[in-house]
Parts: sequence; C-alpha cells; structure tokens
Amino acid sequence: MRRLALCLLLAAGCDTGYGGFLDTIPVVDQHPEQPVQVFLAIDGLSRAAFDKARADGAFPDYSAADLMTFFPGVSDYSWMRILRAGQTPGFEIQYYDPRRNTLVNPGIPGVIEHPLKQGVADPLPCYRRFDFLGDGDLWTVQGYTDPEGALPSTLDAMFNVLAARGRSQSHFLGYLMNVDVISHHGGFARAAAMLVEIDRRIREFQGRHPGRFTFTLIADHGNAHQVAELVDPRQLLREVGVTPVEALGDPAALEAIPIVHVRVNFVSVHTAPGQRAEVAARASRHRWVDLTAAPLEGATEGRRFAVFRQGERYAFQQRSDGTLLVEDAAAWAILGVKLPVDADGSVRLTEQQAFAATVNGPYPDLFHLVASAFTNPTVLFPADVILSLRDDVASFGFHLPGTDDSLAVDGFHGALSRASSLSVVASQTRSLPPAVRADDLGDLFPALAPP
Amino acid sequence: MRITCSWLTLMGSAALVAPAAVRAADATVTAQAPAPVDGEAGAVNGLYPLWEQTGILHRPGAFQIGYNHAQVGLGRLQLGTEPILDLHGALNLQAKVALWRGDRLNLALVLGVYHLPTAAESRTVGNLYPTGFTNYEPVWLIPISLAKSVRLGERLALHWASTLLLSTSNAPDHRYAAGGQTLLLDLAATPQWHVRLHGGAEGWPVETVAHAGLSFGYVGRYLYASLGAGRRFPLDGEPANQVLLDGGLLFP
Repeated sequence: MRRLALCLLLAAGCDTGYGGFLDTIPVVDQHPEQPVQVFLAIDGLSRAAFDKARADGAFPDYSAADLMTFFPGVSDYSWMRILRAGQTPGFEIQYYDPRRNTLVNPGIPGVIEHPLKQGVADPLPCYRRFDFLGDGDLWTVQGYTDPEGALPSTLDAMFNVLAARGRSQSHFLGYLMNVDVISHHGGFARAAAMLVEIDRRIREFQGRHPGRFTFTLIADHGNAHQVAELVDPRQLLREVGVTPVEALGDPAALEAIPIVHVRVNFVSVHTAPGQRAEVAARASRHRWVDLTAAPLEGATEGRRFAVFRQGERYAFQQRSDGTLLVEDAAAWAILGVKLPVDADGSVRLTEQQAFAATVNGPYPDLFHLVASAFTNPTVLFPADVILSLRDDVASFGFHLPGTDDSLAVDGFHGALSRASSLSVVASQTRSLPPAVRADDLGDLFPALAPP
Repeated sequence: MRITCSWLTLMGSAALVAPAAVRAADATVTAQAPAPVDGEAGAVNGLYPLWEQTGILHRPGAFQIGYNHAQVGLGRLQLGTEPILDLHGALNLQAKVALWRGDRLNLALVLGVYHLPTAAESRTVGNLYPTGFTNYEPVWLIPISLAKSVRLGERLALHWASTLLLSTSNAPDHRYAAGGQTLLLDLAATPQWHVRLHGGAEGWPVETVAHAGLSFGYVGRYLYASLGAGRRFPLDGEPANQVLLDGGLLFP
C-alpha cells in the first residue's frame, strides 16, 4: 500500500506538469482530409441497454451486432483479451498463485487497489493502450461515486484529446467507465439514458468537426440488469460439502479456494485437478448457481470440458484444429443447444457450427466461452472451476466497513447467461455481421490489436 | 516512468560554486541592477508552460529549485532547467539574458532547448493526463522568447512574452516554426501574496490556441508556490482545462 500511495502521489504530481507542458506544443494536422476512426470502449455496455437507447433515438446511423464477450466477463481480463495486450495473473486483482499456493491481493486492500492501482497509478497494459482512459487522478473516485455527474467533464476531456490526437492519428481508442458503474449502481433505465446522452455528445462533437470522425462502440461484457442477492461463495461451497480454504492442502480432500473480490455473478474456484469435476458437479446443485464449468480429464484428442447443471454433466472435447466433439449431444437441449446427433450420440462441429448453434440461445457461444475460459493465455493462472451464478445472484465480493450491502446491487455480469454476457459492437465505419465474437474484434478492426 | 539524470544536479552544483565568483566578476552588473524587491523572485517565471516568460532574472548567485524550475542567476545571465520534464526524460535547458534592466522596464531574451524522446506522451506514471501531442521520433523544441516586464505601479506588473518556437525532428510533421504572444498581469496584495491573470495566443500557424487563466501565488524569502487554473481554446479543437502549478525553494 505504501508503494501504491507513492505511485499515486507521483502520478498526481508528475503527470500534471508534464502533461500540461506537452499540451502546449503545437501539433501539425497531418491528414486534414482523412477521417479518424474512433473506438469508444464502453465498459459494461449491454445489448439490452444499447437497444433501449436506440429505441429512444440514439445511435441511428450505427451498424450493430451482438457481441459475444468472455466467460467470465470481467473488465480487466476482457480488455486485456480484446486488445491482445498481454497476460494477467488471474481474472481479478485477487488471484490464486498455485506456484506459491497462496491468495494474492486478498480482502479490502485488494479491492481498494483495483481502481487506484489499475485505474490511476500502474495501469494494466490494456489500459495503457487507451489514448484516453480518464480525466485526472480522481477520475475513478468521481466515476464511482457519481457516474452521471462525472460524465460531462470526462467527455469534455476525451473530446479535447480526441480532437488533438486526430491531427496526428488515424484512429483513436477511448475508454468510458461510467456506463458500467451506473449499471451496477443505478439500474437499466439510467444506463440506457446515459447512452442516449453519450450519443448526443458524440453527435455534437461530430457536428463541430463535420466528416472528420467516425465512431465504433465496443465493450467488454454485458449486464444482467437485475437487482441481485449478494451471497458468500464460501457459504455456497460449504453447503455443498466442499470446504472453502485459502490455500490447498491434501489433494484428496474436497476443498477449494473461491476468489471473493468484486461484485460479479461468477465465482472462479481453485481446487486440486482431481477434484474439479466433483466440485463443479456439487456446486451446480446449489440454488444460487445456474451452471458450472470445468476442464475434465479423459480427452481422446485435444482438451475436454464440461458444463454442469443440477449435478448433470454436459461434456465436449475441443481438438487442436478447433473442431468440437460434443458428447451426448441430445442432452444439450436442456441448455438451449439443439444439435444434430450422430449414431453414437455425439456430434462433431466446426467452430462456425458451434457458434451458430448457440449464438441465439440462452448461453451465447457457450462452447467457445467455456473452453477458452480455461485455455486462453490471457490469464496465467486460470480457475479450475468457474461458477456461473444466476442473473439475480452476485458474489458479495466485499463488505465496505460502516456500510450495508445496498450499494451497487442493480446489475451484474460475468456469468454465461445471455443477459450477463451479451454486449454489442456498433459502428458508423462499416457494416457488421449479426453477431461477432469479442475475440474477433481485433481481426475485424485491426487498429484495436496491432501486431 | 523512467527517471533520468537531470540538469537539476548540474544546476545545483553550479549554484553552490558560482555565487562568490560571479558576484566578484559581475560586480558592475549587480551594482547597476535595481535593489531586490520583496517577492520579485516570484516573477522570474511564468506558469503557462513553454510560452509564458518574464523579463526578470534571479539576482546573481541566487537560485531556486522547484517543481517547474531549477535556476541560478549569474548576473545578466540565468541558467535553468525544468525538473519535472527532466524526470520524465524530456531533458531541457533554458538560458535567460537580461537585455535591459530599468526601474520600470526589464527586457530579457529567453532561449530554451527541449529534447523529447520518442513517444514522449507515454512516459507518464499513470495514463490519466492524456495529451494531444504524440511523437514517433525524437523531437527538439527550441523556443526563443523576447520577454518584457513592466512595473505599472506599486502592486501591478505586466509581463509580455513574444515567442518563436522552432521544432525539429526526423519526422517531417514535427518540423515547423510557430509563434505566440502571452500576457501575465501580476497584482500583489502584499509583497508575498500575488494574484495573476494569464492570457495569450500561441502555436500560430501550426495549431493556434488561445488561453486564459487565473492563479494565486506566495513568494516568501525561501519558499514560493503557485496554483491556478487555465482554459485552452484551440481554434480547430476542443477547449480544455489546464492546471497551473509550481512551487519550490528559493536560495536568495
């Protein structure tokens, strides 16, 4: 914490003067006739809120596509993965390091570090990539405490930097946190209204610079927009006979480490490899849980994964060429995945077929989301089991001293459900297919993920 | 952020070594210079970066070490650097030469050299003060200012700087000459406490920006501090706020 405080002080003291100096250097307009492609990364932009804003008249000239985000859908991890910016130790600031068998950044200090360290003093590589991340050292404080009040000045600052950077850059990557915060704190209607306001400000800006800037909205996760019951994952594990611990001991013991950090509707769990299936199966029977997912042993080729619901297992294998072998394919109908069944009861699917089979269902892009949750290299220490909670349930994450738990209960993300995971990509620049994987954004818009 | 070897060290050493020798060698100059005025050290520098200058120099042998400026007075010459920029790797040096010293009017020529390393905008601690400036090649900035300071009364002084900024680099887009004019009106409530109005237009014809600001300052015998807010109005861009900040120690 002392190092963090020093970094904050340095950030406040040093960057103010240095940034102020750089701002006074004239910048030649290097391409006055060339439009600037602006990517506005709106944290927590759900498809539902976007559609409501659109119904209210916003974003009329954008081509929009369903954006299949990740599992678990949580900001730091998602932005790192979308922007192909490198690796994080875990899905959240608190993570389990299996090499040291210890929890890192636990408790309230870890929670406090989240906005301060990642937001202010020592941003993750993905946040370094943004041409505009926030306006001043207090941006996270203002953004969290009054997301609507902070929005105008944040947009002012962003448009200023955009107008200036547009003189020398052909594309610009800006970040807005406020929609995610209002979705947690204020609910669906206020999130949609904020989007309407953002659209109004974009149009005003474009009106002042006609023909110069085109906008594309991208996002990191959706939001269930349901008031949620805050629950303790440790209690959940206890109630299904799994002992919650903070370090793993006997590999034969039915024990697990839940990551309890911020308020999300998933829980990443670490356990001994031999206990993954059992922990996942047991946890899936709990009333707070919708699905669980875990990697399994016994793949004939490639990797094998399973989704559990009410203790029932739905397994599939992913081969190295990306094709899937879905076991007991008919059973997947209970998850909204209707598949043609081969004679042996299984089905083989290409990546595209698997995407098409799930894209409009209750768990969009289910196979890819589950498999990549355990294999994508963005996370150094992926979970052994991930619990996808019901949309109206969230891990309490933290209790703020001196407050009750009524703060930030208006909507969560992270789970596999359509509402939690579905976001939107919308562009004035190009037409889009009906649905896009977040993993493919860098291919669709190469400026987002330069080689 | 990379901490680099800064000119601060050199300036500090020069200041420690220089006073006696300079006083002796420059006795005629100091004899002709006006008597030091309380609080005058606060008028040696402007607050708006790069463009705002004054015609006042530190007295011979006097020096200051602060956030924005580390300077030493060497008679008609003053040498200095901007430590906060050095700390970010933007090494820089300024020289100020007194052209005229009178009771009411002071004229000075200010020459600066700044070296901005590649991607200077990324050399920050966090990512919360994004700027419009980016560079894919190192850039040299050479501002040349004629600074005029006029004492308009017991409490009021006007500082007017006319600046030619030369920018050079391997990148063609960073090769240009731009001009600017700034005004700084200094109203002293007491010799120590000041309020200052800042205004000007700069960057013409490359990127013309007007600015206005208000700051408050304290100048003691050994301590000075200034804090204010400005607003920038780019002709082709979007307005933005600017923090006006300085502070440090004086060694009279």
